[in-house]
Amino acid sequence: MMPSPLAILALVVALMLLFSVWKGGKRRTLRNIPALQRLQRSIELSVEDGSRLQVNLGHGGILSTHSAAALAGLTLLQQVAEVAADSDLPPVATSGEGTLMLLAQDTLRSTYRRIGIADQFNLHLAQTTGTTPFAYAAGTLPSVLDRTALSTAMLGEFGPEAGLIADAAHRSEGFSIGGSPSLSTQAVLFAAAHEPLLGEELYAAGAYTKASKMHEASLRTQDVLRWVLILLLLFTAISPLLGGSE
Amino acid sequence: MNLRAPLSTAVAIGFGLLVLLGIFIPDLADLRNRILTWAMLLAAMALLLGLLNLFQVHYQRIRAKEKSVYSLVLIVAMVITFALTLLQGSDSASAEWVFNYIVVPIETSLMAVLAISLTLAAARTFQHRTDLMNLVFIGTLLVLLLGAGPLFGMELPYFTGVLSPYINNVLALGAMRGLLMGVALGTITTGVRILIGADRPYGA
Amino acid sequence: MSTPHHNPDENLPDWLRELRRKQSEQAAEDAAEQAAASANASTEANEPAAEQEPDWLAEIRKRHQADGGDSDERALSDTQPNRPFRLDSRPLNIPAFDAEEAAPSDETKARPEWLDEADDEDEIQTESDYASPFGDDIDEAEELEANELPSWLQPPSESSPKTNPFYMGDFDDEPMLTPAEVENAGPLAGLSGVLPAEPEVAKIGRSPVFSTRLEVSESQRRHASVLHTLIASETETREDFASTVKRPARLLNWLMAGAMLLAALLPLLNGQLAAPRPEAQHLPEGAAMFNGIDTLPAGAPVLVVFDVQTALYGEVRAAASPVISHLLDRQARLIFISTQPTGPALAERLLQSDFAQVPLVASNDYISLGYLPGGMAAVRSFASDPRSAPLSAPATFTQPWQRASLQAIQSVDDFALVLLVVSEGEDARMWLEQATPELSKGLMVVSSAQAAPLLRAYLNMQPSIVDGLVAGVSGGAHYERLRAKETFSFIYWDSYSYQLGVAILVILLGGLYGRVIHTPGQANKAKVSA
Repeated sequence: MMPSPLAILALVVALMLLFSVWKGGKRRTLRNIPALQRLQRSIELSVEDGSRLQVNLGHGGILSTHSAAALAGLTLLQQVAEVAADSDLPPVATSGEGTLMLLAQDTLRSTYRRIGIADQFNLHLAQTTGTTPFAYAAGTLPSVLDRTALSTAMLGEFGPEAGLIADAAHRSEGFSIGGSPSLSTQAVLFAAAHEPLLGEELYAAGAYTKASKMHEASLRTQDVLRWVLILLLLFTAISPLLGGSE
Repeated sequence: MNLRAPLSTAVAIGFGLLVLLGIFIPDLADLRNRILTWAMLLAAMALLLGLLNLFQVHYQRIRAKEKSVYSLVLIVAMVITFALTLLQGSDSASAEWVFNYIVVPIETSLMAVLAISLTLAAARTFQHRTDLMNLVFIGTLLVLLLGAGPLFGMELPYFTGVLSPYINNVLALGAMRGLLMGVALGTITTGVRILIGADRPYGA
Repeated sequence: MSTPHHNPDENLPDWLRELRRKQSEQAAEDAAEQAAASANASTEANEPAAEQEPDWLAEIRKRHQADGGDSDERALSDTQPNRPFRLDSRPLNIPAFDAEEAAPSDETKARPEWLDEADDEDEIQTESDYASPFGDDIDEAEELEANELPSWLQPPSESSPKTNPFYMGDFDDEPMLTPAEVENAGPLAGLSGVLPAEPEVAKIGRSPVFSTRLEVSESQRRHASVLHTLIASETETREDFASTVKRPARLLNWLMAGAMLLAALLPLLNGQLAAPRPEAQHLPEGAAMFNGIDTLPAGAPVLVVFDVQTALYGEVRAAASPVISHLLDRQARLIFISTQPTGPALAERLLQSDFAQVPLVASNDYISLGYLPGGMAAVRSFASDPRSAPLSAPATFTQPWQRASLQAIQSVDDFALVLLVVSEGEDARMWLEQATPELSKGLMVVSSAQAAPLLRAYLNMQPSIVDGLVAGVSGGAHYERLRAKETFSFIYWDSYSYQLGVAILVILLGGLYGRVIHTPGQANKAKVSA
């Protein structure tokens, strides 16, 4: 019997709320994701040496299949802005779609307001660099190639064009990290980016950059559900062998 | 008291819940469709805003004399194409000419550059990464390339007929489903965060 | 007459006299006490008496003595405010004013990179006459001869303590004053230590003329020029950094790219089809599509979702053209739609470039519904109610729903076939997930090769989601073989075969170069620099 989608949703909400209030003793460490640890280090370094960090949110809008990936990118943008907004070169967000650009502007504006430097915000900190995927990538390349942005994070919906951005980061000796829900793009990023984010690692960025307790809770929920799924798959696979019937 | 933040949060949560419940409750289907139509109109409007932003950014660059030649080319091309399409329609001969002889060749060339970049990136992974994951990656890549077709006009039956289909249809498929499940879990939890107002990307 | 002794207190009132007396007695007592205290000062001055020490200080002292600490300074340091962590953990490396310590080797370690870069730019100067802003001044100072220094600045000689300016002399020595310091003229003759005011004050002459020009030393000028260079470099527009680094690697990249392009071009110039076609049994999903299309009745409405990105059009064309050709041969009425802004234009390009001579295309007997904005939400809305979806149809196809081929279409399931032509797997997935609930049959998909692994997951599912799949150049070539009509793959297949070979060689040889030649070279460099 298939569980109803509403039941799954209710379970997810319950788990997330539980993990957000549960103290959990000493063993509240997140699982090791080296790419995100390097991302954190990269953010710190870019603040220290005054270089720019560019957050690329991809070409998928908020109404696309993978809008959640773009939202994960926006969370990262918020965290980066909180750390580096008042530096010489504040972080810049790029997007290939209008709705995402508006959300990026809103995210930056509210972050600037929260940390008390609202007067330093300008709308050009969130840009649309092109409206087709490759035009978007081409518009993003100059700032990576001329080393205006030494660290490049790609979190959102990307196609193979992510390879062009990652390659540009490599050529200009910058740092690149990338995650996309698209499987072919994950393969591209594995080869081209310094640090690829595979599978659900993309959605863990918020928890690693300490965005909020709820991000950490959602990562734990993902982990729990992952194990539930693994056990279910194993059970389904071996039940015919044990003589069980549907 | 600033009412903007709680109001926008309430609107976001309310509309999110309506669309979600519209999937499960048939009576709400019409309302859900209406909301989706509004969203589509907003998306079309946002496309225009995106173009406006692109124009503004490059206009500023020209004023600041910061790599202004490229920005000038972009703005001139943008204005000409927009004017042609607006006056003569998107299926006019001039709009088609711009698309077929400028847009398509440029983007296809970028794809060709990407093909070369990715081949070189695959070669580079030998140098940068020496872990097991990378060995598996390179090994699989080579086997799939050997099985993708004849090499220099020669067929390699074992790769095209046995090994490559096995990797494609069994190993890759299994791994891919695992990754997709992970992505789905991430998507669900991100969606829930928006629905309960824990994430507010609209800046509230 | 003697002057009468005047007692100053005699006119004072009694109470004031009494007060004066008491005050003078008190003063005498205080003076006696002070004298006694100064007598003991030599023995007690530096040792705070234990009984006078406050308890908290005594306790700290005791604790540190118990810890093995015997220094008073250390004991008392506990009473100081906490030092910042960074100062404790990383002691400041303050260079001593010593020529050896300020040597360039130490200095380069402490200097920031950007200053090193500035030095590199002026390398010739650095080698010959350029003075570093930090260390070289000290060398310069060292070069000054001792004779040029005023006597009070001359270094002390250890052999002669008397030359020490702070040496006060022994009691048995001769008087410290030299004959030159004894006045030998005027009313003060014979007196020593007289200030020589007269010669300076009484000097007669023209007042000095001061130049308004800024006088800077050579060293200051060099510092200013370094600063100027640094500031100028900050405001310069940065050039493409990638073009200046790793020239050998870039050359190799160009060579590899050249080889790949040559592999693509040579078969086209040769004009012969040499590579063997793909075997039919390797792509069963292509055969399923062939059968599905081949059984369509003439004039059947077919919805073609053309979600192709411009950059991937070349590859998708190789796969889509044989399938569209098949549909046109079956007299299907094609209705195009796209969720990509450039999709309708690309569909039109495909029809006009490959099928302009086909009667259905030549007579415009097809429909373009245009661009469907809104992504996933729009697909969901279109699948539920196609007629109410906001579409931006081209001017040629205004009022598309009034056309004969669409008269009978009320839902997406009314189309005889839904064919997805996609470049990205995610675009196909969006349609599969949003439209499938509205369909009673599976869809057919033509895709790029990169989308195929994702789409294979939807093949052979129950209920059916994807019935047939043609992916990439090999899928197109295979489909043409099924139709026994090889036209489009003729252009691509040999180039594809040669490029595959070159790509494998580049990966293997490039990897070998990186692993065997480049990496050990870097390791050696690192060793040398270490």
